[in-house]
Amino acid sequence: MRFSHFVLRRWLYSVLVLFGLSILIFIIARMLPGNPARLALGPFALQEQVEHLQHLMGMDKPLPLQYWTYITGIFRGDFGLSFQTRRNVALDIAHYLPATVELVLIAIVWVLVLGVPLGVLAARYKDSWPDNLVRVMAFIGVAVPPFVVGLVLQLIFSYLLGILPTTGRLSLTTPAPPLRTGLLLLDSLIEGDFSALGDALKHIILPSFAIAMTGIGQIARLTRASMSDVANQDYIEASRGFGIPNRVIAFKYMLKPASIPPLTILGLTFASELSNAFLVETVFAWPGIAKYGIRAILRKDFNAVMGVVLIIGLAFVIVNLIVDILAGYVDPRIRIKHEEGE
Amino acid sequence: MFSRQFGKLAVLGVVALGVAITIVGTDIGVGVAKNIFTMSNTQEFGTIDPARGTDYTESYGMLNVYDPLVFPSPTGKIEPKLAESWTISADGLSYTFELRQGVKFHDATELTAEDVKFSMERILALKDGYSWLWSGIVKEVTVDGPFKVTFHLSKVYAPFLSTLPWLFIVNKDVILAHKQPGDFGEFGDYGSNWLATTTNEDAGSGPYTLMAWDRGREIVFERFPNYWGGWPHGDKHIDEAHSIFLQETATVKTMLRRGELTMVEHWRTYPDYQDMAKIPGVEVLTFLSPEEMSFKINTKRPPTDDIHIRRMLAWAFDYETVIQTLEPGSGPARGPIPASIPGHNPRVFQYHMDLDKARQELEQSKYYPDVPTITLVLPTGLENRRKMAVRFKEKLEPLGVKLDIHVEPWGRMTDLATTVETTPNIMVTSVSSNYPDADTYLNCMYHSRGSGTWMSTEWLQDPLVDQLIDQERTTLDPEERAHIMNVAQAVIVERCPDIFVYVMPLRVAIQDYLKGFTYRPVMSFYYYFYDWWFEK
Repeated sequence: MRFSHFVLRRWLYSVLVLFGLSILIFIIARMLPGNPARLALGPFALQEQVEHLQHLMGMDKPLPLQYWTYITGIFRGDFGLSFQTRRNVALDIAHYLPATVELVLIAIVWVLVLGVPLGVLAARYKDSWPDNLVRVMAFIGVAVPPFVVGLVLQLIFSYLLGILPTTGRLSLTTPAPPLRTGLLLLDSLIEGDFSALGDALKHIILPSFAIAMTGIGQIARLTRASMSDVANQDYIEASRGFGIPNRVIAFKYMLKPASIPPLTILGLTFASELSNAFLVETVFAWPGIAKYGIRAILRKDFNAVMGVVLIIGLAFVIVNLIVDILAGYVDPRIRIKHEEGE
Repeated sequence: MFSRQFGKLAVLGVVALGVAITIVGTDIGVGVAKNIFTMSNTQEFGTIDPARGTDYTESYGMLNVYDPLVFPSPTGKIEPKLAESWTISADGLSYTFELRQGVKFHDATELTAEDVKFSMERILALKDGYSWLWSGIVKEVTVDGPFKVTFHLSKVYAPFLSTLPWLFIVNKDVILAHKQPGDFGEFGDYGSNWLATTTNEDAGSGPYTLMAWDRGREIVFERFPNYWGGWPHGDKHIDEAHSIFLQETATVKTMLRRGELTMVEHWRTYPDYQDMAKIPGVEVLTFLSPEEMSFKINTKRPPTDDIHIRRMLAWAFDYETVIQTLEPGSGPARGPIPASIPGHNPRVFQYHMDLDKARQELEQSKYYPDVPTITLVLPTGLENRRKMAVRFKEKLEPLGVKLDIHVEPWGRMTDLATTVETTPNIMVTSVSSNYPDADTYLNCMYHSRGSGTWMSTEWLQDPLVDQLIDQERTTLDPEERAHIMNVAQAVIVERCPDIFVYVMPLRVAIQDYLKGFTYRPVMSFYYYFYDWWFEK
């Protein structure tokens, strides 16, 4: 089987996964306690009002029909109306999603930029103090909940040092760049607005780092373990025998094969960062999809719950697909294995 | 090759982050040229469409952007706003308002009687928001002149005037200019899609305009310089009001300490406000709110269908400890109506803890001595109320009465309240006023037509109480009406459908340079930016 066929097959599986997810979440969202129409209309709403809203939202139709209406609507870009905002959920997602995507992408950058070098460092100085230090840091990163990290970072960098903002994506006095992608960093770059860019960077540092802490710890540990395994390979010993400097061996001959396991769990890291975002967005008042999702669950805003879960599911599927392709690129054995039909 | 590329990437990343961190360095202070007010909110704004909003954030959003005809005073008295005066017909079926002239909407056009008529018709047609106040009551609205409008009611409704602070007047022309196809004929969708999606436009005449709305983060209101009421404090008024969605109280405290928040809204816990009061330059203001906390007793489910069991419960409750230790700053509840609400009866019977009397009532019960377990349900996340329930359980144990405590999500509680059978013996909730009139509580909690909601889990369904409430709603003479409401409250207390625990305190933390905070006994009418100014 060609590698491209393998990718295609993975993509088809992903569609099936999303379809299953849509059915599952459709049922769960409707089983949550409480009448969403009453929750949306407030405690004093008359029964007539509640019934009117239920009718508007199609709740008076049989469940299979509701599901069919919903799923066919998605293909037209219609995710249904939100009970809370009375807007199409697609509009809400388009508003909230970029903030979370930006946050998680920067968190991934933290993971790669800090997690991998720290892992290499720990492997290079295995069982010495840099290794022990990295291990302790990695342990803390994995063990401490991200929202606690967020609060501590706020306390240190916002309150005590006063060098980073406490919440939000931009300062109150910084005009937002014109909306193009919704990613503030990118939008301000496109606009050439470096004042907004600097301000947006200041705002994203703490929340993205809080989200990334777990991933940094995991990737550092995994890189260290992989590097240690590779270090015992014969060809590394041979390289040393040829007198190649340790730095070159570490980065040129050890890192590439050692990066396969960290790379393959990067998809999982992405998922865990998305879940971390649910609390970190709350701590940093970050207007992202995770916070929107929480509110939707609490208010039983089922169209919004469906929309958020499907979009996060889709993101997860896409990231894992990309990771599969990247793994095939980095490790030719994976490509060959599929192409030879093994 | 890969490792070289990766190495370069890593170096670039580190450099980029280094640059980012270097860029950082200055404080993020707020502007000095304008008076910028910032306020935390525990929940996000869903809408500020006057025909749709209901909760506390939405309410004060509407309040600051749109004007109503009348406005509640700090004592709950209804005062003129857009309406300069009004007359009520002898039969109580017509309310005629003379409108203030020269009032400009934010687009500089003049507000007229047509806009008032349109605003009422719009909210009734959309069947959303506060339409329940007038649905089935307002029959027709007629324009009697450019600045004269009459509401014709289908039946006498004595609290009508008290409900009108919730009728916010929209600019008819602006709404219709933005209408989209909808269910309402020539009115399309009544502009509701536009108001749901716009982030910097509105159709109001209020003291502030909608300046920006970053959903999930903040909503910003900007001072309307041409407000008809003028700006008596000149350049000290708030120029921009930022309402920021901040759930995490630790974050709120940090922002308050840094001066990034001017006000913390009223939804934090008492210990949090105690902490905030210690921050230099921060004051905590405390008021008795129009919200009363009670243990609502299901009067139709055994064993609380027995009045002696209900009275036993009322005598066994430790009111004093709750007020002094669990909810300091709260006030004792006397009957179902908080003292700040016009129509409150200050002479109704008030229980206090007396375990001897509790035992006497218990022994008169038809269930004695084998009293079935009493179930109590309270909402998740309210630790103080859980402690109250546990303390109550401890008090009942020596009497041989078992209390089974359950904590449920709010959505589940509203489901449980829909039938007598599923409603537990006791539900712990609090009810606030929607308009400054005792009717707001009596009608929603005790009239049979209100049964099946979380506010009426008493299932009182008492013909005499129904009759009294119907009477007070149709009695126009204020004195006679007050008398009927007093009797209704006395009868209700005699039936003992609730343990009336306390009137909840309303606390806000403010920077001490913020002046003019004015409490009004209607939800959110105390978050009226127009009242406030900076004294720096």
